[in-house]
Amino acid sequence: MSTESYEDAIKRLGELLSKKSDLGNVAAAKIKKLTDELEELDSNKLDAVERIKSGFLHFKTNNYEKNPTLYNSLAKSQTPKFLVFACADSRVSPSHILNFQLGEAFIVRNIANMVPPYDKTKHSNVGAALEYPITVLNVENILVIGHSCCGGIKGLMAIEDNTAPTKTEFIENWIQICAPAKNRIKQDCKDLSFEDQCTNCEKEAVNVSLGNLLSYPFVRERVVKNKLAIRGAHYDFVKGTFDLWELDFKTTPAFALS
Amino acid sequence: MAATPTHFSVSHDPFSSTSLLNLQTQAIFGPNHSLKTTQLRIPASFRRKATNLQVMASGKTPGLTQEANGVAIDRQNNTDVFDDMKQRFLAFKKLKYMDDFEHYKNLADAQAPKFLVIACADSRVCPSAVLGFQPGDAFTVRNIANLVPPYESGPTETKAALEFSVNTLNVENILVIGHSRCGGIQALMKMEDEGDSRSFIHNWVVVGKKAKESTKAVASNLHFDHQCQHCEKASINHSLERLLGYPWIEEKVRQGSLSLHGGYYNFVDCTFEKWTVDYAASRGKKKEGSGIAVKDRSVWS
Repeated sequence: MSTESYEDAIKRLGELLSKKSDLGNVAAAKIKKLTDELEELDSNKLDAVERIKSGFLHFKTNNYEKNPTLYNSLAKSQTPKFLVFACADSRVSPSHILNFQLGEAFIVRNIANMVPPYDKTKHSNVGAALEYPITVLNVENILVIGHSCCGGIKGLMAIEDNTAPTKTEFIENWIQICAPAKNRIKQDCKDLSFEDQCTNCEKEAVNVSLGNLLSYPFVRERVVKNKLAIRGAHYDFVKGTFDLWELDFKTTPAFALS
Repeated sequence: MAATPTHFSVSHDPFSSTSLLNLQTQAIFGPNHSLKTTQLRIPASFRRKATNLQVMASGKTPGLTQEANGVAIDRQNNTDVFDDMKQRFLAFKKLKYMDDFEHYKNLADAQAPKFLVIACADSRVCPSAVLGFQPGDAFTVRNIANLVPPYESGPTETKAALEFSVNTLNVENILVIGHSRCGGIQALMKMEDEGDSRSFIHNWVVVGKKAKESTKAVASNLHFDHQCQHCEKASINHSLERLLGYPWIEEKVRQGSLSLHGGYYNFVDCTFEKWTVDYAASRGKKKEGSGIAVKDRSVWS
């Protein structure tokens, strides 16, 4: 990327045109096009801000002001029943797909909706996002939602083994959390197309995350006591479908063998 | 009133026929009969009442119905949740997806969001609801207290999302949204010993400790709640400053193809304050290490 300032660039152009005046018309057309594009860029930015302003005012008039009891209560405290892990993908907002109203769901969103295993330093981010709703807010349900055409899962499936890290250092470091899912799919589904493998991996990665949830002691103890339910889901926005399943984890009473 | 007060109290209930049907069904098919197979869809709020009534009808004293609340989730409740999810999804499909099918079809091929939003996971501050983002508008990261770790260290969760949205999706705007009564910021402000690694929450929110230090420097004489509010806003600016520490983000901001914005949603009085990072003015400040300069500040109410 050039670090030349626009003043230097204009100066250079001026010098060129003074030497080759027949380029004048071409230059004029290109400069006009560039100016139009820059104007549009600027107005796009204004549009972006106007967009969220009108979104907020719409929310305030049609939702907030029409439900004063709800919002007064939420201002004091929240009692969500759900903790949801969803992908940061712009197409899969859980509030849209599952119509969660404000106050219903504590929602964590990251690349490929992953839950890493317990690690106090490396994964304090997700750990905190689990610890707070579970131990402080006492949510009753955890839902991990995978989705179709997930860029994170596709990236995971595309990583060649034993190659040097690429320039997407953070992404690769993060998505390898679900490497067990990729390994399984590469083995069990090796005859499928890459696209079908990815779809299977999207669901298998959810299962890896569900398993990882149990590595957190405060999750496991509540699941065993039946105070917390863990579910996985897959939202397919190509077909318009939503699959939902549950993690069944319990210990049966011991019986003496002797 | 007759010997079965339960039934009479139900009949005063506007949804009584529904609940009554449920009880009768229960009696015929036994207590393990799943609600799923009844023809009538019973709203969640009344399922809870129905459960209470079932306990009452079994001959126990009304006082014991208190025990029915807060009891461990049982299999029947699980079926309720599945049913609930199903209704929610089908409503979305009918009211939004099918109505705008062309748009969803295009989105299925690729997303081209204009925004990367970094917001708190708090159930009260969903950016789609509060700012009206539609599917395809905003790549959204949500973590505790909407914090951004520094480029050089810290967990990779948020950083991977930055990398993807900025370098692959080429978003034009990053919006960091903080909010009132943030539990994460409160935990940060209450933390006594920063080395305290007993909990995940502490290990994570310490990422925002510079915001706490700057708050204590200027606002330590205020009431704790006001200090927290100050820190909520300071933390947003601190995160914006951190974003400029990512070389590929700074490069794009410098070129003008990426703008950084801060937003503060106050759900107590329902206002939204928004501001934009003034990169040119910030560059001078950055050398002094004293934060960022902002412009275009406005409050929507």
